[in-house]
Order: sequence, then structure tokens, then C-alpha cells
Amino acid sequence: MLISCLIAAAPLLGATAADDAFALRASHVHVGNGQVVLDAFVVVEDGVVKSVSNNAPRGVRVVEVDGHIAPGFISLRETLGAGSENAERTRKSTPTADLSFAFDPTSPNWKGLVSEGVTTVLLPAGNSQIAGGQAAIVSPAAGEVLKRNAVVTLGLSRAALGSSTAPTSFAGLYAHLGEQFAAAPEGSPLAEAKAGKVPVMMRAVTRSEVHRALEFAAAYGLKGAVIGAPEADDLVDELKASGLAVVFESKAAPASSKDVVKSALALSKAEVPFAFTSDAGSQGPLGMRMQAAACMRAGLDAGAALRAMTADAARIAGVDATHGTIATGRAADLVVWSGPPTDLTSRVHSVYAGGHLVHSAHAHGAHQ
Amino acid sequence: MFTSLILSAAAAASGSSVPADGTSWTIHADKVYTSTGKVHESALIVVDGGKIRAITPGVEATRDALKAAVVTAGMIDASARLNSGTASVEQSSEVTPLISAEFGVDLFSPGWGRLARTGITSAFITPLNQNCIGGMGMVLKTAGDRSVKGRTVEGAPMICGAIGSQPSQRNSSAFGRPTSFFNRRPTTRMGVEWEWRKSFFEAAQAKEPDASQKVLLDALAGKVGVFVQAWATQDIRTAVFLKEEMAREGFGEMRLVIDAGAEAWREPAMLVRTNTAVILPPVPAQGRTTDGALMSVECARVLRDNGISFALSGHGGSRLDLQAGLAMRGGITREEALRAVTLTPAQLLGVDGRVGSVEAGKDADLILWNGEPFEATTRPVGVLVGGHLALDPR
Repeated sequence: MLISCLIAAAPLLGATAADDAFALRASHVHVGNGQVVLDAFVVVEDGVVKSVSNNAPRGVRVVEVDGHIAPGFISLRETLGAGSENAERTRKSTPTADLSFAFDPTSPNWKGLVSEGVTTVLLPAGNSQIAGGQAAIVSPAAGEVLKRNAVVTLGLSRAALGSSTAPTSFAGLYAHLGEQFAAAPEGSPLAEAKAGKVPVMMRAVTRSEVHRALEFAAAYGLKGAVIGAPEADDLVDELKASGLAVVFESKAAPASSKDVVKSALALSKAEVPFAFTSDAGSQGPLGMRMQAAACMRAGLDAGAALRAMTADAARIAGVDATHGTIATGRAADLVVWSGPPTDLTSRVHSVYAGGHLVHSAHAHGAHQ
Repeated sequence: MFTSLILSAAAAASGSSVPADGTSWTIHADKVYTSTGKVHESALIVVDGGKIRAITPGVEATRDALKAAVVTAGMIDASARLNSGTASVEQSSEVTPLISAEFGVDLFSPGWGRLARTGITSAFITPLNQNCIGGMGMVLKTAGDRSVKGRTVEGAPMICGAIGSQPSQRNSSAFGRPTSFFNRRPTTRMGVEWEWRKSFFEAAQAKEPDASQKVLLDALAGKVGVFVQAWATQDIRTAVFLKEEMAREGFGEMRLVIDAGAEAWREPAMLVRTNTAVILPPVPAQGRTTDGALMSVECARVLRDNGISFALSGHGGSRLDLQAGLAMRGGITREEALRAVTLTPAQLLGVDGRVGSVEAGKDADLILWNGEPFEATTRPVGVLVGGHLALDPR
């Protein structure tokens, strides 16, 4: 909406380009959908990508960058800037809670994440909650909320069971959730999820939990993704049939990381979309990229790994119209890398969010 | 129809191999114990579409037949305890008849494969014993379909609970302000008994019974079984007295099954008097079981001598065939031990229409043994669950 306004406003500025228009020229532009354009110019105007082409734009300042340009990475779970503000623990379900109010735009924690190329983050409710609220999509670099009430987060794992609060059982959890959905008034988050208008993100870890989550999603007509599912490779058929995507939790622990690697390959083969979390609080700012690299080491191709961190992540979060690819009309969230963005030896040179330079390795004297 | 069956058996015999779905077999055994008292010698069993189609005694083995010294029905563990622990029981209330064991089941647990490979082909799953009345149990096949629905064997509905130390284990009085729902009754056996009795009284006297109370009313009417874990004599007494009290009040006649009745041997008269069935827990290594209940291998014999219907169980950790062997050591016959792990649990759980014996038309849940079952040197060498090989004898 905001973006379409900006585009509509652009012609009013006349034949000459707006003052804030510029172009980045790089040897490789990774569009994010798997396509790579060689020796290309990315023209940015009013914070939005105006064009990607091999022809030099006229009347626009051109910044030559030495390296690869890729869309900013999208993490489908990052609670760094939220502290413990993303879980209303006095009750198990607060489906109308708006996670954008848990977002601290000035948290110093965001800096590290942005410097590793993550420009968009989904802020979900905590794992201890059953229907903990509606996730917000935020830009940590710009300090802006990009989309409120973007995704309904549901906790269907053992972590959502209480030890001394109800429900303590999966039977109780599903009874509770069934009641929540039944009681949801028209237009409320759960009703919108049931109508397929708002995607859900259901946390389910063990195969049994995932199986149950898929059954629940089918019964209520939910669309969206399962978050967790390290053993998704054993549930490929069920996942494929469900139409749901998978968000893998980045884990440093070798055992579960191995599961994720196998599962990512299996899903890629079956063309089930998947993405990753960054979880920088526990994994550090590099976590998501490390997880993708681990998958690549086992055979996932670089294009698929990049898609999982850009275009596919945007689609799962429901922001693919504005984020996740470098294409006309998309937000100019761009990362300049020293080499291929999925290559662990590549460094981040600079990061643009909404067309603004928000991080420069030179300026910070980092990674040099 | 019958001729076509013979033809398909002949086709299998003539060397054309196994059909693609892997649920059609011919099995030859020197002996087939049917669990109904019959023994077929040198018999050929034809399995097709997951069912037993025909049993022909007195014939030679065909070339392609799976061979075994003895074939019996797959064992049924009436107290398999393969639920997912505390996540299977809703402890925010001590009486939760509406909770289904279904949600406490993890079909991906490796325990299922272990049960199947040791010859247990059906298992009764209950919510964990932390509530007075924990909820509805269910019978599941131990192998096959990946959904709970596909694995369920529809049987007699049973509400499951416990009388003893477990339901009061985590509760305690509050010091200062109550901080959790564990600061409440019951903290004692008296409290546990009170919760049971109160629930049934309230259900029986309710003007407009709610959904939970309707389940309890069905239990009072004998339409829903009452499956109560009670190890020690005092707890078995409590369960039996409750049933008698309900009958005296004119509320109805409960169908009571005592689970883990380790001390059922002490006072068999009250079980006989109330027509109560017993599931025996695994025999302990050192006499004492849970709640200090004393049990020996002779427990099964005492129940048999008193004509009490009983089944053996392994609690998910102990091999059921060894339990049957121990019960034989205590003095029951092989046939009786076999019935206690097949047909009797099937009848108690209301699934004997499908499983529990080797008869044409029943599910092809079969164990292929390398010798006389329940001997220390005998083991299952092949197991079929619904016609699928859970343990391949070849």
C-alpha cells in the first residue's frame, strides 16, 4: 500500500530522477528467485527497486560495488529485540496480541544481525504460548514495523504445555485451541486464519507433534507453515499433501542440525517450500547462514539455499509482494557481498534497507 | 468366493511370489494354537488383505510358505503404557473423562517397533496415571498405518484412572498463597477415593449432566468400562467397594477392570463377588512392586483357581512372552498363559471380534515361534500385524 503510493508519486517528480535515486552496479545480482543477472545495474528510487538491467541508467548516480548483490535475508523467527516481551505468560492464549508492540526498534542487538545481511525479521509469540498472538514483520535496520498482524502464531509443541498451569496435556491443548477457534468472532485473527486469509505458523517439533499439527490445520483449513519439524524428511508426503511450508529452527547442536540438513534436502527434492530462523539470541548473528551452508554442504544447491533465506521466506511470511527478491517495485533491501551470498567466506560490504545505507563494513571498520 | 480363495492359495503355492501390497502370505506351522482351545497340527494358514482367510490342518508346507514351529495369535498388551508421559494427562483437573488417550500417543516412538518385534500386535493405551479419572483409553495396532485413526481397533469404550499413591503424588498444600493447581486435594488416598465417589455421585444426581458426567453415567450403566490402576490390596478394595456402593445406591453396575492388580491374589473373594477382571503387571524381580504391593509368579494361578478373568501385561518395558512364561512357572498351563495374553485381553477390551485368536476372518496378527511359546529358549521369529511383516522370519 505504502509502496504503491510511492510509485504513483514518482512521476510527479518530473523527468529528472529524484535526489535520492541511485544505482548499484555489480558483477552479480542475485534476484532471490534463483536467477542471477551478470554485470547489472540495480536502480533504486524512493526506497524501492526501480529496475534491474544490464543497461546503465541515465541521470542517476551509479555506485560501483565490488561483489555480489543479494536481497536482504529474511529470518522467520527472531526475538532478539523483544526480550521476553513476546509471551504473555499469565495466560496460554492471547490470539489478538499484536507482536509489533514487543518490537524494540532501538535495541542494540539488531546491529549484529543487520551486519550479517538480515534485513527483515518475523517476530512471533514465544514458544510457551498456544495462541500467543499475531506475529509482526519488522525491519531491524530501519527500526520500522513493516507489517502488523502478519501471521497467527500457534504453539503446538510440548513447550506450550504447562507443568503447573492448564493445559498439561496435548489433549487439553487441542481442546483449548478448538475452543479458541470456535469462539473466534468474525474478523478476529483466528477467524481470519480459519478463512485462509492470514497464514499461521504452527510450532511443532517431534514427528508426532507435526503430524497432529497437520491434522489440525487440515480440519480448520489453515494455511501457512510448520515451524520446527527437524525430522520433516520422514513426513515429506504428509507435508506435501498439506500445502504447508516448513520453517527450520537454526540450531548449532550437531544432532538436530543434522536432522535439519537431511530434511531440507528432502523438502527441496519434493518442492515443499522451506525457510530458516536466525535465533541470533542463541545462535549468534551468523546462525541462519551457517544452517543454510550446512545444508549446502550436504548437497542443497546454492540457489535453493538463497531462496530459503529470501524469496521463499517472504512468501511464507506473506510479504513476497514487497520483499524477498530484487525486482521492480520491491523494497530496496539490498546486501552487497564480497562474493556469493551463501558462501561462508563471503563478507558483507554494505547493507541497504528501504534504499538507505544502514551498514557499511568500511564505516565500521569491521571484517577488513 | 471360496473357490477363488483356494485358487489364490494354489497360486501362492505354485511359486508365484508375494503380491505387491505385502499382506498376502501362506504360513505353515507344525502347530497352531488358536487361543480358543483348539490346536491344529501341520497347518497351512492363508493370509490375504490383512485377514486370516483359511486354516487347513494336516497338510505339507508349500514351497513359498513362511515356516514356523508354532503359530499363535499376536499378543495384546492390555497395559502397554506407551503414552507420552505427562503430556498424555490433563492435570488441571483430577477428573477428566473427556480426555482421549489419542492425543497422548506418539506413533513415532521407537517403543512401538519394539512391541511389534516381540510379538505384541495390539496395545491398550491410557492417559498417564496422574489423575483420578484420566480419560478414555484406546486399542492401537503396534505397526502399520501412520495415523492414530488407521491404527485404532474399535473396542469397548473404557475410562481409565488410578487409585493409589499416583493421583495425589504431585499435589501439596499451599504455603502462603497457592501458586499452582497442585496446591489442592487430593494429597492422600482418602482424597483420591473422595474424588472418585464425588464424581459418580454428582453425575448420578445431576439434573442436567454435562458431557463429562454423561461419560460417567455410561460407566455406571456398564456401557463404558472402568479401568482402574490399583496395585495394592487397599486400593483394589477401594475400587471394588466403589463399584458395590454405586450398585447399592441404585446408580448402576460398573464394568470394573483392575489394572496392575499386583495384590489381587490376596483377597480374590471380593473380585469373584463383583465379577471384576484383573490385568496383572509384570512380575517384579524382588517381590515388591509399586505402592509396596507384593506379587509373585503364582498370582496368575491364584486368579485362575478362583475363576477370575485375568490378562498379563508388560507395561511397555517387559517382554510379554516372558511374563506368560513366568505365569506358567507359577502353575498355569501354556494354553491358559496364551489366553491371558491374547483372547482374554481382547475380550476385556471389546476387540475380540477382530483380534485375539487364530480364526478365519480375524485380523492377520500372528506370531511365528521357533518352538513351544513362552519357553525360555523360544522367541518370536516372525510377526505379522494386519498381514504386514513386522518381523520377517525369512
